[in-house]
Amino acid sequence: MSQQFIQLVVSGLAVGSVYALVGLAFIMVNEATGVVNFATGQMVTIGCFLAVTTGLQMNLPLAPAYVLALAAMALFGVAFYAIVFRPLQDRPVVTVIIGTVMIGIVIQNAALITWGSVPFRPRSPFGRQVIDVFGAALSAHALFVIVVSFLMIGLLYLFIYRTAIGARMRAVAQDRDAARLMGISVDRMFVLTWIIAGLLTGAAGILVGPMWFADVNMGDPIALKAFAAIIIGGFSSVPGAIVGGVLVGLAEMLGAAYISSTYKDGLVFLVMILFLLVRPEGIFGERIGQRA
Amino acid sequence: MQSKRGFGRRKAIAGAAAATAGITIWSQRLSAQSGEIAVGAMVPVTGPFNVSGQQYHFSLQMAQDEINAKGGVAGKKLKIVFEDVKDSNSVAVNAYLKVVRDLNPPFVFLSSYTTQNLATEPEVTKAQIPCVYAGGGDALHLKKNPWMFRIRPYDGLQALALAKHATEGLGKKKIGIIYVQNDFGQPGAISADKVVKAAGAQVVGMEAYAFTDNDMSAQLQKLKNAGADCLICISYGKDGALILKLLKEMNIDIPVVISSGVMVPAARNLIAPDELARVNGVMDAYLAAERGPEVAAYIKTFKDRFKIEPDPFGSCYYDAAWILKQTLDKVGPDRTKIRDELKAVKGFKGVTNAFSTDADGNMVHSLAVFSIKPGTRDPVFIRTIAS
Repeated sequence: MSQQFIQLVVSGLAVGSVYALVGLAFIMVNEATGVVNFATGQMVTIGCFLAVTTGLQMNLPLAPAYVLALAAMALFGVAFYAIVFRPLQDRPVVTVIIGTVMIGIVIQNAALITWGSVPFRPRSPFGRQVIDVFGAALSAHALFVIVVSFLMIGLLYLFIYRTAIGARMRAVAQDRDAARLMGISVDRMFVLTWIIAGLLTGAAGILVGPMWFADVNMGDPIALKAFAAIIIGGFSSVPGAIVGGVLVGLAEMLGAAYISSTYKDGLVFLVMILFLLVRPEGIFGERIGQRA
Repeated sequence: MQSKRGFGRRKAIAGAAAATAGITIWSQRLSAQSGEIAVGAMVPVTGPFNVSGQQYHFSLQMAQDEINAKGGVAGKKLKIVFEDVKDSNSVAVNAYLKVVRDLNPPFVFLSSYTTQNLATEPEVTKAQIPCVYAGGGDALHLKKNPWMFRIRPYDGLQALALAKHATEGLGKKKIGIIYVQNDFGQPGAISADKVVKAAGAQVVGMEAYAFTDNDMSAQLQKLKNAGADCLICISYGKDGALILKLLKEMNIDIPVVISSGVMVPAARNLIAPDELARVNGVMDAYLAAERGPEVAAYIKTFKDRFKIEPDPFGSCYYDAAWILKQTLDKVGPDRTKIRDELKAVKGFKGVTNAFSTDADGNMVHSLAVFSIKPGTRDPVFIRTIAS
């Protein structure tokens, strides 16, 4: 295996695992509420900049800086639910979707006013350390991103499929009215869903900051690729988000290296369109009719 | 009851919106008629271009205040009305139309981005209002629009400078080119390719990336594998900084000649000094205090007022505002006369450059080349390359 290939695969996995985290945030909200949250990219931006505030501007050690930023993102999720989703939840889905687009624009401009237009370079827990693996120079932070992302995804999987609260969340996702009749507090499950979305996007923002710098426009391209990832993996599937994210990340890197850097984004979106045409439920997703 | 209240609220909101819009239009029209000469400025205040947009905005604010402190223009106060053009061509066109409709200005400062100016160009032709712009794309001056004047070096000149410095300046023979895939990077890469080959060197690879990309390691790896002994990097600020960071992480230790967006303070501050160690770059201008007391005063005033260092991208608008003052003082707010005066500008000394208009409407004809002082982020002037 060539050094180049190792480097590209690690870069692709790092990028792909971030797409997977963001894709999961899309899926969590969509499954629970039936809404695609088009402010997901801006939530990544806010997560990254909260870590800029705690880790760079307040100069806290990185561990507490990250915890504080994540806690703030959990609150952000609650605020998003209370201010945006709850008032709109009984409106047509299109209204809610447009609401998330609008709030995304508001968040982005609020970030611009708060943090300014000049990008920041957040610190990494590993500094600029590079690890030599079979002659390939691998960024320690990229490896950290992969490990943390998959750890978070694993914990989320356990939470959803191995805990009572997770079962309640799934019940709400399957049939909101039936869940309510079973005594489940649907509103609490919604709040929890938005908290998880805040944590996932916040973690994604914290992880990508040291790799890609923090700037107020960083969220949309990430969300767009994550969206492609969940189309490919399956819109309602946790494994689908992981596989889709990794596939998109690897396709970007390997496509640019071995096919054409000019058309690498085109390749990703071509694959997405092919899935929409041939297998719209994605690799792991279930057909809408099968969910009933 | 509920519907009545809802109707009332809607009416109130609509009324407030109409009132706000009315006040805005009324106040702008009033200002254009009452002892002020109002001109428009299309600035990317928000969106991905806001780093340079902020500099552009600040430079014009400063110029406006200084010009008014010195008596204004043609005996009246200069008022610059700013419109946010974000990163969208349609927003830029609409902003331009709004300014033309509401202000009927004698002059407009256009956007600092070529695609927006290309989209606006037909409207400029219709409106016949002279304007200056900072976007570098050659496609614009090739249109030879008699109402449009460029106040910074065109991209073809930048590509020439990058390629000349890599080959003649550094003596490199195997050049790899990495470029942002848009109207700035792609023509720049093609021009650089021609100049490199004309200099007897070889282009071992040309790799593109999208403006929104955050990882260019695959492209850099390909260029390394192709045997590049020097990279020409045609990029903006943040993406260029990312490329330099990645080169260090990937242990690719070859000199890089990089475009002007990366050499501005906001971008250089993102890059660690050791990542800049083998970097040479071009800048629109040598904006340093040692160039003279006027430049030193400009830099100090800008830093004191806005708490950031000025960069050449925005500062060229400061110079353009002073060219405008000189023009308005001479011919007043007559559009055709202003256009003819701008066509005849020769040797105007600004803080960024000397301005002389050529047949294509280009007013700046040289670039400065810099290296980086070892262990710092400070540029060291090497030479000037002229067209």
